[in-house]
Amino acid sequence: MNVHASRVVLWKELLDVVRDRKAVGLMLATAILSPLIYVAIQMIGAIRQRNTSALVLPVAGVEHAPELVDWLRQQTEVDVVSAPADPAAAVRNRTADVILVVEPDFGDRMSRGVTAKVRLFADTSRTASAAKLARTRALIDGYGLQLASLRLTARGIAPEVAAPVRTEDVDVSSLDQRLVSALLALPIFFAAAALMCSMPVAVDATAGERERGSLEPLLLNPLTSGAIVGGKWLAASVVSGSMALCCVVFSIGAFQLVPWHEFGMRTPPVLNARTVWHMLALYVPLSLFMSALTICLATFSRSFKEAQSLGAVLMPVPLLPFVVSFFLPLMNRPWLAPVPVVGQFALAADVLGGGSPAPLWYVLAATSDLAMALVFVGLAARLFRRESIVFGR
Amino acid sequence: MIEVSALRKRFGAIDAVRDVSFGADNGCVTALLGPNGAGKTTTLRILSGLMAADGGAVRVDGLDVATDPVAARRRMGMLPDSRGLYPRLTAREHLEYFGRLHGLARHTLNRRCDELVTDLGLSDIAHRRVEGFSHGERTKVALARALIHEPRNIILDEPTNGLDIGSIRAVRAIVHRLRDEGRCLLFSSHVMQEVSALCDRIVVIAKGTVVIDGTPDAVRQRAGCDSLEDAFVALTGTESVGRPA
Repeated sequence: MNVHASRVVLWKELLDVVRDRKAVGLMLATAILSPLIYVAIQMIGAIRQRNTSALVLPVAGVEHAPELVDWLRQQTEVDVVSAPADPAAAVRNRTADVILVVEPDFGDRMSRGVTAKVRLFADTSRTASAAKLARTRALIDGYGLQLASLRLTARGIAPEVAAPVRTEDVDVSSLDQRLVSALLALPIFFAAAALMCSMPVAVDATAGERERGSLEPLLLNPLTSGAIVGGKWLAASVVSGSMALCCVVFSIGAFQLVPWHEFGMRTPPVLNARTVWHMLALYVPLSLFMSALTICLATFSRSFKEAQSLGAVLMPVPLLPFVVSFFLPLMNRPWLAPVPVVGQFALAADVLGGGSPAPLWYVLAATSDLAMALVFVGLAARLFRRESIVFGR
Repeated sequence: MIEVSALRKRFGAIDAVRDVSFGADNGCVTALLGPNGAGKTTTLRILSGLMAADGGAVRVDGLDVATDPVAARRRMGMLPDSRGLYPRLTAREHLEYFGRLHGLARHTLNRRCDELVTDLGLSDIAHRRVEGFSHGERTKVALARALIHEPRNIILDEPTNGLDIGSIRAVRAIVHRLRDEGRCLLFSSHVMQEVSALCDRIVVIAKGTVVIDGTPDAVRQRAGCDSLEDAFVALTGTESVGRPA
């Protein structure tokens, strides 16, 4: 009887959701748009990073330091152009990222052998200009070092005397690697889709039911509260699981469709059907847990409005792996599998890193999701028996 | 058959129900009357098993509501104070939902839906979503939903509230028919005309206790009044404010 009743409740709740076109549209947008926007941001970042290799540098006061400017022009992929009249304003209103201003006494001080000054205008609050600023500074410092070596040599001193220690940057990052680390954020979106898309159903089926005044008539049926809450939980899980599926398929598909070769990058090999199956095996079961969590919390809420504000409270849940990773790196730690959200992330990170965790970990993760979900469903069922919940006292 | 004995319920410092005992027999319409705040709704909620009493017991066809609420509810059909419907479901889908929750077989469910749609005059709106229904239409859907499983015991909280005259007559006809079928009906109302037209027995509650329990004639006789309304006022001590001397 209980299973039958849960099935009836599930059917009704799903019918109710499907008919709410607006809610379905919003859920799809949540599941699909966020990863798409993320992919777009990553692409823009990659393109920007590429663009920094060709540096267009506006220089004011070229006449005060012709040698410096000539030297800059000789460097590869540096294009010296004339600077606008007001460098500070130009940087502020973003017509230029970095502007080099040569002081009028540059030549004079240089010939006297005193430290000459140039000024670099940049807006450090803009991350986009940081790479250009660093490159320009490195160029000027390089020019200075070269001059210093010449001066020391002219005085019969080995240039090494003035540079007892020298650092050499070895940048091992490549655009391909940057892409792989960008992919690591995808599991966060999968978890967020599972959570956010369980909310509308969970809220409508609990706080919404109370606010409409339909909870009391529903509970008057000869059913246990467990059967009713069970049906509602399954409905929220079906919706949340479907949206997590959409999120996985669309975001991996979107990343795969990007013409990475045109940006000088290889398509990451992990973007394939195998990864999609692994992600589905992780995040569809997670929707069981997420739905139970939202159902349980939404049952406490007195109104629809109050329950909707839960979204803000629950938002940190999908971000939990980021917090944990501050203290414990999550790669190669499949034993975290039983911890909802964090376990999924750990396994997903391994898969995206090219690894292949044992199937047992997936089973463990899904079992743990289900067990914890049942705890929350049981708790919600208890709440449904409370007079204060049913009658809002 | 419903038996209520020595029911007590307290909310903080307030005694909502102090000592309520009455019985509602099969084949009989029993009215539960009382001024606002007398304890009617609390009594009905305890009766439904959704609220626990601090003392006393409610038995429905001999089943204790507190210890066996699921079995007791199977024998009850209740139209409670809150009649919320699902805006995106049609009137008929409401009946089907509740019928299926009661475990009705498909053919029984279809038959019951057809009967209730006809009896309550819902034919024109049966396949429309309830969003935008008038108060009366909503009440009729809620009433039909409560009766879908042909319950032996029917509890109606102000069933004719907000209905037009045609619908009130339809509800009265249904109540009479259900009584003639030998079912037990318990309903609360504020409309004395309705009570005298429908009820075989009246239980008046005031300040959490039963003031009188008897036939309409017995109630009038006890109060020494000709009309039921005057008897109600005399027995419950509720006099309207500003009445000319």
